[in-house]
Amino acid sequence: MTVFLIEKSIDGLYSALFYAFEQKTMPDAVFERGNICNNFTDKYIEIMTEKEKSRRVLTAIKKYGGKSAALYIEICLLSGDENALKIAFDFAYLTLSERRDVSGFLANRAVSIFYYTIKKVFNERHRFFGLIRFKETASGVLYAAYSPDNDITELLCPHFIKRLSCVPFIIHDVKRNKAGVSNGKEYKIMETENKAALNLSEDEKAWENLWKNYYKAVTIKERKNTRQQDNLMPRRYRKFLPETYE
Amino acid sequence: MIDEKKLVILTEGAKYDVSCSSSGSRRKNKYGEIGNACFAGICHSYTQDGRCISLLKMLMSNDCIYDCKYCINRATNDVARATATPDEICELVISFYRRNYIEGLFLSSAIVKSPNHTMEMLYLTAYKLRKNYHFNGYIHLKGIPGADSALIEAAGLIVDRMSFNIELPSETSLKLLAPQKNKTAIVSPMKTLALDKYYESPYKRRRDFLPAGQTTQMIIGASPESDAHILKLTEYMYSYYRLKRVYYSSYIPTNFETSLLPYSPAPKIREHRLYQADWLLRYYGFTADEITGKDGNLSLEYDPKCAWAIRHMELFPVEVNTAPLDMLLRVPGIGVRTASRILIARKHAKLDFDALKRLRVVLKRAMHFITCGGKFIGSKSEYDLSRLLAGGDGQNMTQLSMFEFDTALSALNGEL
Repeated sequence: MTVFLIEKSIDGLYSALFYAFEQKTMPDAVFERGNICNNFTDKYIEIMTEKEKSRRVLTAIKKYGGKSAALYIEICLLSGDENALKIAFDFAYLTLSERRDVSGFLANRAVSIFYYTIKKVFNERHRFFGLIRFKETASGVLYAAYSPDNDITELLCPHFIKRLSCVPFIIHDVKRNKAGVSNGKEYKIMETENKAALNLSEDEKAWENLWKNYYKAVTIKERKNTRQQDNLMPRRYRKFLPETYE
Repeated sequence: MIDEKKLVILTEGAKYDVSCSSSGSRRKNKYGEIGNACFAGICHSYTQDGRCISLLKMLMSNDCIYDCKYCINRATNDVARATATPDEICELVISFYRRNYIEGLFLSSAIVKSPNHTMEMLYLTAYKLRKNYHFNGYIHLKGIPGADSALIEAAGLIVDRMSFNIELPSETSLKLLAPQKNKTAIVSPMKTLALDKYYESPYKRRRDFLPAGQTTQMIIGASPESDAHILKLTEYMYSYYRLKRVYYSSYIPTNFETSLLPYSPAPKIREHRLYQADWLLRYYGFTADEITGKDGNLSLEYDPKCAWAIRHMELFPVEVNTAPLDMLLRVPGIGVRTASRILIARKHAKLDFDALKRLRVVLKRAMHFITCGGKFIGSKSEYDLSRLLAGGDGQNMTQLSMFEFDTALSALNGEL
């Protein structure tokens, strides 16, 4: 089995594609460098990131697959799927070898898997449009901690900037130790600790309490269906929601 | 800040209203103000009954002068009463919205003093929320039957969606169970909201009149109407009142003092089948007459599309590689999204059964109705077929109804 070891970034991926075309080798797997234990049966090829090669691949992808193909490949890299790199690699490889937009080849294995992988990322983003819970701090900044399956923080920030207009907020991914920090107009992604010390505003507890009471009151007890609830709001998300944590 | 007990009372009173969707509006944020609407709608939480919480659903007051038999807030019922002021509600909405608990407000009310007074207070709340609290999120306002049409139009200009509940599927039942309400009072404002002028410029261009349209709701199983009757009515309302949605709510007994109402709740599977049929009307090109069988009710064993397909085996199987969209949509196991994926995929390659699996066609049902490149892998006997589709072999009726019960509950999901 041939394994490509690359840097987990768009440049890293495109450098690997350049290498694959240049050397005429297709990998059976693509993994992030340093994230894999070597064994003796597989053949490992470590690929260095080279900006210039990456740029040439990107140009070709845009030329054949259009801007959307390039964008979707970036989205795919945000996926928490362990094979995300290989999935993105295969799709990009197909685009380059077919020399056209392959996004409609939904019956093709590589395209189909790619399609459902980015769909998962978008679906989780949409889920967290709803499931993010802000706490108001004493300084007026809204703070939300969460732990998504995919790396969606940078996809969430623009939504909340539009919506909260001028209110500064922080969305903190405690699993990846990173945070989207916004001043109400723009946002930046920053590395963080996995905990934050918060100084909450005076009313925060009271509003949270009202919300918990509302949540209880709006349930129709005669129609209990926790299986449905579990499907729509998986338990792994709940420790960040005031209405479900104890 | 609104009192905790008051909020609980007003929520308890509003929760039986099914509609909680926040979709259909593209209301924009104004710089420096709070909120916007998302066209697809956003669910913010899910309760233990599996329904989503998208909007803060509450009554302005549950102090009703009417005495509708099926309603928990009827005048003669002994429940705690409360009324919230517009400012209390506005403050609550803004505080919840900032914390991303909710997508907007669903405000309804019992009839306080008179329909006009109630509608005025509802309007005032929505107005304050928009103008004083600078809120651009989603507002769904319940219309009060019998209120002045000028009030209703004014409300339509500032909220995203309005709804008048027709409550019961026929005039006779309405007279019997809600004697103080009458059909004209409910239907005429619905007609007002559907007037052509709102869908032409300048309204349409500015998209400022009810961007998310109007909806309605009726109670199923409290009165004896058949599914055929209900679906006919639904179809009629979709085409003449420009409704976005019709909601069905299974009857839940809350009043044991009258012999006019059934003692037990309506089966939830019936509600589920009606929703499935409703989807067929809106997205699949079916008519109400096609959907219901000879006896006027939907089959409880299998979904309405399967039931229709089994009655029309002469039209099947269809070839997935060549069938037109409207025929693909009629195949059980192929939905709107799957059908569009098939259309895209078959431009590039001939589809086989493996390809269909990748396109997420539900082959378990679809295989009996399609061929792939001329190949057929479904059941050839019609007897086997209806058994297979009803829930697999070896399952007796009791097990079946348990299974169906669960699926029925899923109809409560917020997407509905």
